[in-house]
Amino acid sequence: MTETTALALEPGHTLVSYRTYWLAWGFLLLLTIAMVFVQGPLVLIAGMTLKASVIALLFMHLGFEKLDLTLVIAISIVGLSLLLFGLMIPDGRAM
Amino acid sequence: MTGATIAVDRWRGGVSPYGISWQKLMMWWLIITDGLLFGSFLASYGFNRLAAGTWPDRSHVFHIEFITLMTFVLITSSATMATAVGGAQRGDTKTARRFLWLTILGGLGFLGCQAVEWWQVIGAGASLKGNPWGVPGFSSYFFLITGFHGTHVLIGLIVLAVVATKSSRGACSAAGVELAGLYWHFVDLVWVFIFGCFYLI
Repeated sequence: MTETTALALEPGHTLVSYRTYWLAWGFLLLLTIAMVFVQGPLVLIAGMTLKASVIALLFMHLGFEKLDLTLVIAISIVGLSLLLFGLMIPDGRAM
Repeated sequence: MTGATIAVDRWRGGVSPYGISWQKLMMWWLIITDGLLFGSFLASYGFNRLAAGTWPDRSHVFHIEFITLMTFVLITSSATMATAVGGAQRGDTKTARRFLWLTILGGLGFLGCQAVEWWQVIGAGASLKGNPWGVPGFSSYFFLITGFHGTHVLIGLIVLAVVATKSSRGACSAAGVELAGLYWHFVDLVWVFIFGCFYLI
């Protein structure tokens, strides 16, 4: 690790290899193609969640942050979205 | 042990409880709130779509292959952005700059595709108030959600252009590139849900 690297990163942070990013890219592309050919909301929601997780954990480095931060972000976004969709979608269906 | 020490121990991070700079923490707060805004749009769209009982057949209105291509372009720009951040963190400004410009190119490509798509949908007679496919809410939500996302892409492109230009002068820190990157990945992440909810389901 050079001195420039040490300065550029916040303490305790991990450098993610370029290879990891481009493997994630390949995976996301394949998943996108697969999702075009499948039917049914549940499978598609699972696919979207998987894609979003790869982007958040690898590209946005959330998988390498302090667990406190990862949990605060994941719980607020996922929890509030579940509440939002959980309250509105059944109502829409009932109309 | 003094009260202050105990408080520091509780936070387990002293002045930086999450182990990141305040700038990055603020970017995350922006992403959470902005994400919830898009979440509200999509939930409201889902509600109206189900309540309407009927919804236009997506394959009649959209060219799914073309939208998939747009999605590829955006995902690729996210990967180039991650590489640019990686370059900046390694002190490799040449890689950072090159991949920042590639990211901008990808963003421009995505916006160009979106302009073509809007052109076709508007050309078919759709507006915010109504459309030839029967359900007025269909085109309202289409323009609202894709328009809001497109605006985010445009803002991201402006931010990236500033970062790339500053980086060319050696005036941009790795942390600056990382902040722009977080925002750009967020724009990609939102598109995952728009693509899935609007074009695939």
